[in-house]
Amino acid sequence: MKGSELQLVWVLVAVIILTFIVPFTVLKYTPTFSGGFAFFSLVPVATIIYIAIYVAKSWKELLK
Amino acid sequence: MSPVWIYLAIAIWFAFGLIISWQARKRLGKGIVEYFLANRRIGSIIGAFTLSATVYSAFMMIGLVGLVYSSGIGAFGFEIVFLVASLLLLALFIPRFWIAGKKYGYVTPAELLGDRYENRAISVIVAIIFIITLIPYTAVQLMGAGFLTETLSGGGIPYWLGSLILPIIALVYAWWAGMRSVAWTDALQGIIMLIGSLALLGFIWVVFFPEGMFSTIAASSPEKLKFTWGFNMWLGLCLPWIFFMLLIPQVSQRFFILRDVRSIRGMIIGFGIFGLIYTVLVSIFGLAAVNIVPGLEKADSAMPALLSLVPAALALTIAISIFAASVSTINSIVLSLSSIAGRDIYRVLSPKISEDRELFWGKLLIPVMFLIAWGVAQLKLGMISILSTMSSGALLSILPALLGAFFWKRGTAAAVISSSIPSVIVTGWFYMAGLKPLGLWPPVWGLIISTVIYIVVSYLTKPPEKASEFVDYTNNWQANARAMTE
Repeated sequence: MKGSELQLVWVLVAVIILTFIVPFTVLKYTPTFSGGFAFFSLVPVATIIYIAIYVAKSWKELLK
Repeated sequence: MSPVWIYLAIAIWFAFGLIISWQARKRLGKGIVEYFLANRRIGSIIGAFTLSATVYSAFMMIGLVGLVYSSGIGAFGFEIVFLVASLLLLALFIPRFWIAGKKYGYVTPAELLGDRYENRAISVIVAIIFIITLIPYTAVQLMGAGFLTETLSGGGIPYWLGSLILPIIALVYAWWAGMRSVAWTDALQGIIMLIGSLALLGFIWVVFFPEGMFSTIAASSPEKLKFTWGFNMWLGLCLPWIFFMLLIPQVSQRFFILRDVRSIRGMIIGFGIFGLIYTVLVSIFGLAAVNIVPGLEKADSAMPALLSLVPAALALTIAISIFAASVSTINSIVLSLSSIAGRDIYRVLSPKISEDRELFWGKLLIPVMFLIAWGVAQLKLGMISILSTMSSGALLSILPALLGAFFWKRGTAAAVISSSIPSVIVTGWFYMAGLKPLGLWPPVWGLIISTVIYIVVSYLTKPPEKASEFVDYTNNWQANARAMTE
């Protein structure tokens, strides 16, 4: 596994930890859309943007 | 609603699909790779749609809406954890599956594991695990269709008939033109799924929430916006779904069908966008239903109850979009199991079999499989979401074998066999008996057992010769893909 792919693994670990901590610490106490709904909507948006950038950079040669 | 209207809508929708399927059939060439993998020539857009429509099934509009209805925002979060973990894992694994498929000619994920571990029994065992776990998963799709048609027609279309119509449609799409037909019709189903959901959102917003949807729900049902799930439930439901895309064969088989690296990129990004839009919409429906149809005894009936309050034409459109989600999943299961039965069971038992015979035997199992799934669907077991999770939970037993295949040269065939079988048995047993030792859900125990056994036995036995070559080749997929195109 190359360095850029290791980065993917670390991001995966970070996202999983985030989605396992925030619900039990913050979202239990925020009964609003700007709480849980916004958090769970923004995480995939950020992930899609990250992957689009990752693929464009790491697979550059193969996408020509 | 009169059953006649429902039959008519299904007939029109089926006719559109049939036209697309017919076009695919005209291009159907000979051979197993052509039939089951569309000759590995699927591009970005169709690839993204077929993956999305295969993954997102009736579970979403029936099961997830029900789960959000009963347990609030936690259900939305659980589906989002699945989406983000899947996206990151897809970027890591699709290229590896894809390059391995091109190099070694794999047609099924079970074949990949059997070849990598140089043990044909592994192909058979994994194939059997796939077949056993996909029965409840298929039953879930049929249950969704049965509940929906029965409710919409006011009992005019009985549950047993509603749950029988969709598999027949799925069989037609899959049977006569293979993967190309399934992938193309999946694109149609995916578009219908999005259009139907957006139309419902618009109607609900305007008619039921003139003061604003989010503020109304926040004021009237704030408890549904709080995260109320316990940690063990969160872990028990999320864990199998994090790895769902890698483990379920009708999904991982799609990693073999892509034309090039651009198509891989298109599939991943397209799936992410589709998944995000669809998950958000479906979760909003669950929250809206809390306000619109409060106090339902069965959470899974939230969507049918919602549809009973919208105009007939819109209800029919949504119903067809749910049928589309169901059929696009069922036909992929059909095709995948067909290839698995022929390739990983019959071919292993009769190595000199011709491709035509392999195809024949693979197809033969399909009606049998459907009859069993339909029989299970008639039992109307539990909540749909729990049944789905049970399937993916049992599949976790082969996760160590799959990760080891790509990343650990030390992993051995004996380790795969000795870890996966007890793990599946324990997971299934715990689910059936309702056991949660130490509060942990069955998939967690299944994964712990399979991981420990896989590692220990791998260290005690000799790795296959192919392990090193396979791991190196797939890890250097970029260089090998470049060499392939030059």
